[in-house]
Amino acid sequence: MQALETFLFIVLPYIAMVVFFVGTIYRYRVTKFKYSTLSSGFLEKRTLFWGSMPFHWGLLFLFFGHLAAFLIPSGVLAWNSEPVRLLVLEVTALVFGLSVLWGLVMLIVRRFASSRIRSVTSPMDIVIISLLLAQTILGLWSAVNFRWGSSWFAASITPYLRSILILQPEPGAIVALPLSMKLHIVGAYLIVLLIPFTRLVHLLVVPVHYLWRPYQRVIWNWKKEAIRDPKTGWTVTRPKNT
Amino acid sequence: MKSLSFVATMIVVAVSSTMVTAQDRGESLFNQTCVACHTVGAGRLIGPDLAGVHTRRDESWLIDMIQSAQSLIDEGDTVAEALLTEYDGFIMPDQPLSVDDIRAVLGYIALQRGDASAVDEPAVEVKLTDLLPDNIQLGQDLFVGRVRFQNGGSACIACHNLNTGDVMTGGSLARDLTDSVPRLTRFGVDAMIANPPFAPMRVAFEGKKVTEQERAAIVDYLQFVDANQDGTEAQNYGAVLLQYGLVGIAVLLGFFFLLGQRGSKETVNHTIYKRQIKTA
Repeated sequence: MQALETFLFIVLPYIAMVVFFVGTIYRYRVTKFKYSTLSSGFLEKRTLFWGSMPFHWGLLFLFFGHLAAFLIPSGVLAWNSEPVRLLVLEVTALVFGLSVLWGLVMLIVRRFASSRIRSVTSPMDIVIISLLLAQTILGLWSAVNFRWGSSWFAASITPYLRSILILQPEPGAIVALPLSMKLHIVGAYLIVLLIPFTRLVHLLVVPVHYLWRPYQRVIWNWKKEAIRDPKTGWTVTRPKNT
Repeated sequence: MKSLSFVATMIVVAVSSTMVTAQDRGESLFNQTCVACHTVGAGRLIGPDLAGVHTRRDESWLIDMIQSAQSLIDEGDTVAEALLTEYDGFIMPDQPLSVDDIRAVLGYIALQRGDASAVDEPAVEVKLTDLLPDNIQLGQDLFVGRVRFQNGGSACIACHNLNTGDVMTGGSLARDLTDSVPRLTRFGVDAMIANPPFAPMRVAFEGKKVTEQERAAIVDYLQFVDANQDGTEAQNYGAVLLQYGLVGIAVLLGFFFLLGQRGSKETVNHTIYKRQIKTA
């Protein structure tokens, strides 16, 4: 095997994992208040909805889809054993993949079209968004051109990923895959590697507890409408220079 | 003196056991990797008969050829190119074997007393009329996955397509198998399923061997498919898949549109921003 492939499929995954674990923990300890999505929803909302919703729902489905093929490959193969079920799974995954692409394109347009968003864009944002775009296109390309990926992922790629996790890497099957798949795998490692240095860290601190947190009641101590109406003047609270 | 002879005995035992191990290793590697396409002395299959190959070619050439035939062809090696032409453009897949592994295999081949010219076609001719309908049906069910392989391997359709209207379009990761039986012979197809020479397939079936009966059914089915093809081109399923996907994404975006009708469409401080832009 060539040296480059040895590096990409044996060395890189370990570098990515070490940097991910050390980096995310270090960053959480050092810059805790920047450990977020650095949301720009206050600056622009309309395009954000059309970008963020398709992007995140698509990603959620695809993430758990890839995870299922990794954790329960035999279950995925059993599901795919009926051709109609295989088709349903593949088309659904493709739809969510296209959803990610659509969302990502909207988010990129928003990032460059809105002057407010442009001014809060860091170089790392551009790096990670380019990587995500390439990763999405490569995944879609592979799904359409080398079809029934859900089956051959479970059969041929899962054993490789497991071999990495048990520290006995066996990349033989990966080396023989088409170029777009190899790039997709390398792209995944690069994204994991870059998580600690980007706003992607927000996926580790998703406020899931909001779902079952009790409602919070917010009580304003004055009549909002009265303040906002210019005709009423400062009748409720008067600004003071004290 | 006694201890000296003991040491000598131990050395002899150690050396001979190493030799036995190397020979076993060569044999087991040959049976895992090479046997799908090659014989030693029983004639050519998908690839040449390897009897006496160590006398016909240099060891370094053999190592290069086994590790990556494609690279040798790219470099313009005339022998490799001639073999490619002789075997109808079928390139030997790259084998992830170390130099030591290859030497072990070559050692095993050198020990065999095969005669390359002995047999030319080892496979017994099976006529289409000899095939049992039940076996063909079982082969089809195994191919698409309706009947799972006894040891849990993935169905063939995951990676292979068949140019036939009987089954759903197959995967396009690996080669189309419509004409596999005339191309590789029944014996060759059977050997390839039993000992896959391609890494992704080998990994997929590691510890999940396809049984002899299952292999026979698939080979019967593939022979049947080849004999019954009407020459029409298969549908480009990638394009169909994309069309389904585009319809699906339209539905999904419509769903998001409905969701978007709820709640405010602008940021809470939208009017303030607007005012700023106006005065700027």
